[in-house]
Amino acid sequence: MRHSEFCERLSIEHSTLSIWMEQGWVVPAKNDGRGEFHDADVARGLLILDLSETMGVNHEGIDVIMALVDQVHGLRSKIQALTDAIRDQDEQVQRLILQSLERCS
Amino acid sequence: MANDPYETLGVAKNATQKEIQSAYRKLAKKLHPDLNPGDKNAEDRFKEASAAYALLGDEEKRARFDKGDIDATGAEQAARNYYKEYAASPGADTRYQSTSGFSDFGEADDIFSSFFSRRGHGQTHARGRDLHFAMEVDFLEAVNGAKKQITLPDRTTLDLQIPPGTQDGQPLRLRGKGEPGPGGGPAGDALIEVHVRPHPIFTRDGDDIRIEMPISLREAILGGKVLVPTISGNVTLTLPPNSSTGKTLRLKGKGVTKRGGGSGDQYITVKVILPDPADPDLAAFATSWSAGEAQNPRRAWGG
Repeated sequence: MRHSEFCERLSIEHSTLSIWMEQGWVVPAKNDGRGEFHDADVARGLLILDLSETMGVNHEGIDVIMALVDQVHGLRSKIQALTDAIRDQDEQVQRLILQSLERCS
Repeated sequence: MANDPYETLGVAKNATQKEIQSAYRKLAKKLHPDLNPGDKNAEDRFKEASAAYALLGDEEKRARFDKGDIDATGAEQAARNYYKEYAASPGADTRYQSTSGFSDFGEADDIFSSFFSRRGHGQTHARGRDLHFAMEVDFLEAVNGAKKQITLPDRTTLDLQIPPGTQDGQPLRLRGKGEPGPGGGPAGDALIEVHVRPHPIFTRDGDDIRIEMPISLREAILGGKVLVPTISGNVTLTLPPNSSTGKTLRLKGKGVTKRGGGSGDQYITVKVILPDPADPDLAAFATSWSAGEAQNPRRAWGG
């Protein structure tokens, strides 16, 4: 979707979107050289609005939170991939990994 | 939602709207699904709290609920897709995902290290390195915003938008302007640390601007209109009569543009400057001014 539709769906001003983009909180996906937003960006926008309006977090706080949220998702997706990869292994290998994990914790 | 909304928010039936709001805020911070991805229980409790707040946070609805006109389910909210659902979906695009949290895992040439440091599923090539630069800008360019051009070591130039309100030491990120990624991976970012030169008149205090304004003895006693510099040009300020050194006046909205909208203020602290060289008429007046002898500005010190 275009920037105007994005703003409309979140009921925000264009100037607010500019600030979000400057901060890197939302980044339009590149499509034929033109930036456009997806539903995922709208969901992200709702989170930013929840943080700023519902929870009263200031800009600095949002900056920290969004960076951590992105890290958490990065970590979660890697752990998911790792878990899937382990599930693909022979039962013997899975047991060995489990044993190793139990020793660690 | 069938539970008692007061119980859900943990407030008394006679709680004020303010108490209800603050109780909800507290729960939202703890339970927001995007801050607890993967925790179904937190999500359910957040939905319950939101529904309770939609009812009790609205004074009119709350009154109708208290009277029994509507039940707790009347406030059920429309379904919403949280960000985590997109972030976690298979094949999700990975513009936002960051795996910097793994950068200290394992040895650099460990067979797993490339798996952990790769960004997302889609990108199989590592991202280029970020390049760091520093530049100096004038005080007014930083507070009002400016377009600058910087020349990189390889002689290419970059247009740089200094956003209004830029602070000393603040890094500006130019996405994709860093080193190209090896093997066709995406380029890194250019990070430009902005150093703001001090200004002879203005100093910055958060979003406010402070200046010290010299005034003559005549202006201090009689007051009057004075022209005051601000970051957006001169404005006329009415100085009240009998203004001592240290008196601070405020020009509302003449400070730095805030990031979230609005502006700070400008504070003007006056400083009385006696005529130089000294005026014998003034000395003669002070000698004959009997009330002046009785004034003791150091009374608070005792003695």
